[in-house]
Amino acid sequence: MNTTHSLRKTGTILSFLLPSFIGFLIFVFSPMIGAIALSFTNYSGGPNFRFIGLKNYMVAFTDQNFLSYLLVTFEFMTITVIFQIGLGLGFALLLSRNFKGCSTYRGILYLPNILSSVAVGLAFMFIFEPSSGFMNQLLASLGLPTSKWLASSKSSLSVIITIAIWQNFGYYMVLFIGGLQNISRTQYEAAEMDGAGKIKQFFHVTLPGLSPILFYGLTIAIIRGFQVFDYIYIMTGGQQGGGPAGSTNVLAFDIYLNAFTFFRFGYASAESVILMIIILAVTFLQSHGQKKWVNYDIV
Amino acid sequence: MKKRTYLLVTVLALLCSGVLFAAGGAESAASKKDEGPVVISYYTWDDGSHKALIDTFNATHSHIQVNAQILPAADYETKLTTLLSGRADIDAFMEKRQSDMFGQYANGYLEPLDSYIKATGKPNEAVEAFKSSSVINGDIVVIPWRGGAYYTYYNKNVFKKAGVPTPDYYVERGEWTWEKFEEVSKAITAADSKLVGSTIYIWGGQGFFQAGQAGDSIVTPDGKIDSIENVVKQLEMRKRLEDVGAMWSLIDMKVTKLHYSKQFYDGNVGMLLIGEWFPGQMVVGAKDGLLAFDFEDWGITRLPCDQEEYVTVGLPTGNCITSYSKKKDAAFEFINWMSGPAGAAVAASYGVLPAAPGEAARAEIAKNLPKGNSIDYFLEPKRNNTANFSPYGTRVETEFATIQEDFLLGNMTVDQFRTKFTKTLNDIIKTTY
Repeated sequence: MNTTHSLRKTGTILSFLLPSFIGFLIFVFSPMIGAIALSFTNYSGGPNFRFIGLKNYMVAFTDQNFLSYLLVTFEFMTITVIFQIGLGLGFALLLSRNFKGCSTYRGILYLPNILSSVAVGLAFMFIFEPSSGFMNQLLASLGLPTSKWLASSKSSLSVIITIAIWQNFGYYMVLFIGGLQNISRTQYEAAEMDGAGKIKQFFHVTLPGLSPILFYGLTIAIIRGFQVFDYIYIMTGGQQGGGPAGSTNVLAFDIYLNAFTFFRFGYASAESVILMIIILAVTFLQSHGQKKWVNYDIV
Repeated sequence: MKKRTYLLVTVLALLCSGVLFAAGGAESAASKKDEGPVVISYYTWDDGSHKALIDTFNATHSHIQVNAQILPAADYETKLTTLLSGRADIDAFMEKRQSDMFGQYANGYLEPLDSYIKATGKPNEAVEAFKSSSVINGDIVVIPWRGGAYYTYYNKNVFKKAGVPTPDYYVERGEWTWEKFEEVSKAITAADSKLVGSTIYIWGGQGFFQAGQAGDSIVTPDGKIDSIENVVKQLEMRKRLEDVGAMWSLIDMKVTKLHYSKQFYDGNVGMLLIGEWFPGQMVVGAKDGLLAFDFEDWGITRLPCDQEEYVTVGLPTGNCITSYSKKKDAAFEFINWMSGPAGAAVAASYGVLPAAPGEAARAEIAKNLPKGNSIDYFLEPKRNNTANFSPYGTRVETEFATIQEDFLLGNMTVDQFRTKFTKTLNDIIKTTY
């Protein structure tokens, strides 16, 4: 009787999970296995291709372009993660308490996150247009020096990073507000009774209490940072090869170029496998490192 | 009750999964029921002249109907490759980036057309006119319908404002060289800083005019690097012109997505160096009220050229048949018609230069060009070199575009450009496998 009941329960659970699992198998897992398989071939979009072993990987690791795009990707990821998490946490601390208008402020800061990144990219492309864009017009009217923004290899990546931070920090703010509101007030009362000031309370109550959410936020931010593509494609020339002198070419964009402009699907697959391994490695290191600073016991 | 719930949920879940596969079959099942004319599936991009050609063919051929599948021009090559890889229902398609034919041929997607042309009893005039860019490994793989040639399009009002003779003045005197082009561009901007002397668009291939005219291949089909000195020469000229504002900044155009047609329509650019399809865009621009000047206030003349005998550059646009099509004869009849006199007349009515313009086409083209000597230069017989038509072409042009930007931004010297570009060409050759 208990076995039958248990089987029925398992069957019900599985049948609810089945559609998503099938979707995952078809649209995520199978293409991933396909890409790994293709990375060992010279596939160019047709039936005439052959197995070439590790050649694509060897070419990638000896290609100056590949290494420089990897560097740009790391640069983008590092700066956006620091500021998205930092700003998200800062505003979460300010807006986690209930006061008049707090919901409005939270809504305004979260709003960019629900906009399409393509639409945001297009809008800012016009704002930062070097000759007649709003930003340069505003700066000129204030007597301030203007910039080439996206038309300069020195500033184009910074512009894209700024826009990415602006659009996404609201998401982490909302995440952290939820985490902060889950920290029991008694923890703060106990700390206050022990003579801890605001700063000590932050480091010894808030951060440990928020650590699980912080860990999750960091993981997501890092993965997203590595995967950036849409801003680069929309704001810096798309099929025409990316930002000025390749200054904004991240790895995902190079994968796109190799796959869909040069039809080097085998090589592009190898690049994407390398990117996947890097992301997995970073995530694994984080996961391993969480034992040292993530505290799941605080309620 | 619980058993019923369990069964219901399982059935629903399976149904949801089944829908994913069922939808794909419905369309093909429906199409099998069609009787009557042979319906061929033809892929092209969004251009008014293409639609007119298809509509005219359908109206005049009761036994074949072309089912046009339009893809946006910006993503055409990517989508076409994806469709070919998936063996989508394509009987014929228009080739937008000619160097892609090498990969398509290697993958067995292109039907050799030699036997079809032979069956007509005579050589195809368009193929004969552009033989070197219609043949791969001895097989004719494409039938050109639109001729490939670049010209100098100029705005007469701009030259009048600047007090500079129009380019055809120099062409008539045999003086229309690249040095003169540079001189004229600078003179226009010097006369009025609001005027831009000239514009050459952002595509990588636009950096190879002088190389193409000189007969350079950049990378030969068998993987050897040709001279890059003419590429360097043109790039240095571009930098000089951009530095004084006499040529529209390539990077600004790219970042703002400013199209060459808009630049010319706005009436502040003296000269635009672009291909044979541009009169069609001028016709559309005039119809849509986008021109800041009258239709008669522009002209066409030769590309600047340093060679003794005039030569232009540009690849023809043509149509291919897929090797897996089950309607190859019907597909061939359509693409053959498009390259013939009837198709040429329709193309010409949209200001497009046919690959083999007959008399009817010439008369139509004349209606869509400004009066004067433009028609003479547009239709004169001329040599046409096809630089970068090789398996390496697409990568050479895209990689060149990136390095070119670095040079134009002042981040490298000419020697550094030579070194980097040569290294890049070597890398492209080594990594094309």
